[in-house]
Amino acid sequence: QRQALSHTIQNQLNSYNKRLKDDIRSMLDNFCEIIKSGKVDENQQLDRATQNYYDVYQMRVRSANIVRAGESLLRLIAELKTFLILNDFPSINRHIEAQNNHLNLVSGKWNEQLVRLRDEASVVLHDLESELYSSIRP
Amino acid sequence: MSNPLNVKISLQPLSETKIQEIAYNGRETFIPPLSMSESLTDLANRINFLAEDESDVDQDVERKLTPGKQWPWENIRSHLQSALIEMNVLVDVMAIAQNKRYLMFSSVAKEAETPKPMLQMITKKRCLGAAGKILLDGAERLNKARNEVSTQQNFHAQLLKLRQRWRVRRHGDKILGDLSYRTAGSDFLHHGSFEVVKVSADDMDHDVGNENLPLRVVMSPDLKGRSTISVMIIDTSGTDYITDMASLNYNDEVGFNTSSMHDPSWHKKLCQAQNVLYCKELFAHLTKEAVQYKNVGAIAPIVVIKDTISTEIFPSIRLVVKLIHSMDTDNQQSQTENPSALETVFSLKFTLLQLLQEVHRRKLEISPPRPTSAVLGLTPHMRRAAVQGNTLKQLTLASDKNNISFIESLLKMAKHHVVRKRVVSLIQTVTKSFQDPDVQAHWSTIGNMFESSVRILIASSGFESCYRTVVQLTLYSDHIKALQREGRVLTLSTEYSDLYLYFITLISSHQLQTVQALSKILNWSLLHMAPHAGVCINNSVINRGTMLLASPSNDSKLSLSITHNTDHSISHNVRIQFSKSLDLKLNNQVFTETQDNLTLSSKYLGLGGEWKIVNWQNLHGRHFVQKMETLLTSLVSN
Repeated sequence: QRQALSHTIQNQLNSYNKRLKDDIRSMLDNFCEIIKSGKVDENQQLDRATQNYYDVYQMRVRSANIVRAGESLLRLIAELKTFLILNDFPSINRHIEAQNNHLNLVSGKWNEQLVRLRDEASVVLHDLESELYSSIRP
Repeated sequence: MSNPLNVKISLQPLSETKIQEIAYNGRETFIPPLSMSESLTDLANRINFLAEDESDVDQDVERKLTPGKQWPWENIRSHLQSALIEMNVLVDVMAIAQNKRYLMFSSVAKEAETPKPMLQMITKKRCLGAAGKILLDGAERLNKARNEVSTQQNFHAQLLKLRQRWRVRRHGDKILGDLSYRTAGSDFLHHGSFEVVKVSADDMDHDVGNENLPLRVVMSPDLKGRSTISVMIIDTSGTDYITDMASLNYNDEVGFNTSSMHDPSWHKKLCQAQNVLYCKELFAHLTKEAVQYKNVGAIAPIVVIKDTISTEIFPSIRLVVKLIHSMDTDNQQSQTENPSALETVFSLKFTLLQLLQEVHRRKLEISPPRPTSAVLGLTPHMRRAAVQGNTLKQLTLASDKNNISFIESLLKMAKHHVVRKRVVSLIQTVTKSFQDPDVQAHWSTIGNMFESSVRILIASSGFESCYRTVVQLTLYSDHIKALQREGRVLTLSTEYSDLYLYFITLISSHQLQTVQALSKILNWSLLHMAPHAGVCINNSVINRGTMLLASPSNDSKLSLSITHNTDHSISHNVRIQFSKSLDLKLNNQVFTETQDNLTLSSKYLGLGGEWKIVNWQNLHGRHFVQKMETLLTSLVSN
């Protein structure tokens, strides 16, 4: 079944996979980096102030990256759901088949009813016609 | 110079450059002379900068070794020279440094400060705090988004529902749907696509009035609103227009288990849009054909103006087909206010709908090519030549040729509708105006939009077994066929007056026939019968049927004439004649020879006497045949 999927869908799925991995890796990497930069380094080469600024910005950016990755994951979930809904042809086909059966049943029932109605109506109409549609009897 | 010979020898270099090699063919390869820069580097290479001390030592050694040969100022000169070089270098450096374009001076770095781990730790802590705050904020946002998941799920649930009912696909970032009937076989050019849009929570708060659905469909503006097609048959002959109208209120309420009440708003919207599309396609078909076929059964050319197709199907009866498109839903209600008008051409509307469906179905179901090698069902000629196209295009074209023409069917249906209405009203008029004999009509329940039939039975009550006239009328769109009891088929026009005349003729001939049958039963003999006797000069008479009967004993005769007048009334005229003997007997007279011998001799007693008019009104009986029976029986008993 996997082979049966078209190239586009395969690509799409691969890209989703890649996005998932990328986002998770980005979260992990950024976290590790934050922890690393939190370490007090004795023999640093940069100026103290520069080092401070560097740390502040790095941590901010990295934490923001973590948040972004989280949001991206949420979006990915939503997109996956949409993808599944739009591309789950077996279930749609099942549904269409069920609906077809249902509608066939309904139409069959209606046809039957119509025929019965026609018969009844023609019987009643015959009597009514001979009573009312004919000339007024003296 | 110290050469004692003092001979001048001029020396000339052989070549400006050195010869590298001479090839076997005598060609000389020269080493190219050094360029300025190359010679400079060459010279520089030769300088031994480290040789100063050595040279000094060497010089000292040399001096010691060869004290006499050294120039006394040599030492000072060389020191001065090196001082000059250094001075030049210094001047160059200063010039470059002053220019500040290539070189800058900076003070020598100070001794690195001793790191303060405590301070660094506080800074780091603060940094971590800031990072943590960002993370917390982000987490809060994510949480909020997760709470929104309820709407999200709602959106996805709705999307799933939508996917189950409509064709939806993903196109880039958008979700596009298709509501055209293309998969059902339609080839209408309208793309009929819509876009599925997710409504965010903020937007949902804005429109409180509507259903709070997280899903919205956006479609092109020409598909919005409601569309109907109205078919009108307008009778312009009278003072007031008689209008039959049919509108399409095409709602697919036959949803999947759910009634339309519980359907989400987008479904209704899409259904409406699909309906609009359907109406448009139907109307486009009609318009196309109306322009193509100028005259198909209509008596006037078909006129297409904007959203209206109109033509005249019968004199002063117009057929108007209109495409009504309203943007608001209120208009719909106003149209449905008149249900009786809507129901009259109910059948036309549905047949039109079915026609388009049929066309769609045919487009999908193209019969496969017939194998030319098949033996059965193919003539040798057909087998030799490929009579049918085998490609899909040819097959589609072939199926197109067999297609039903919409406008033609519509006109046929409309004409048949009018004809049927005429016959219905005619039967009603006839049955109301003629109480004698009984006219009964029974419409056949089996029929279609182009053909229907009615059976008309004329009988006199009480004498049904005696004689019945049965006529089967088959109504077509432009003529009526009447199948009579004796097997004769008449083709009548659809004109009202013609039909009326035919009916009255039927009634009068029925009365004659009944009397004939009755006379047979009562043993009277029929002397003469003419259903269409000559019409006299009197202009008020249209037709007259006459009959002459003789009693079993042959002593009384009866003449009956049924006259159909121009005011469409039927009058009966009955006269009787007794034979002379009977006449005398009735009058209690005794035969005397005193009268005229020629005519009143006894041998002429069998001849008829005077014709006497029967006072028809005073006769006993409810209707004509009964009265006639009374008359006939009373005449016999006399």
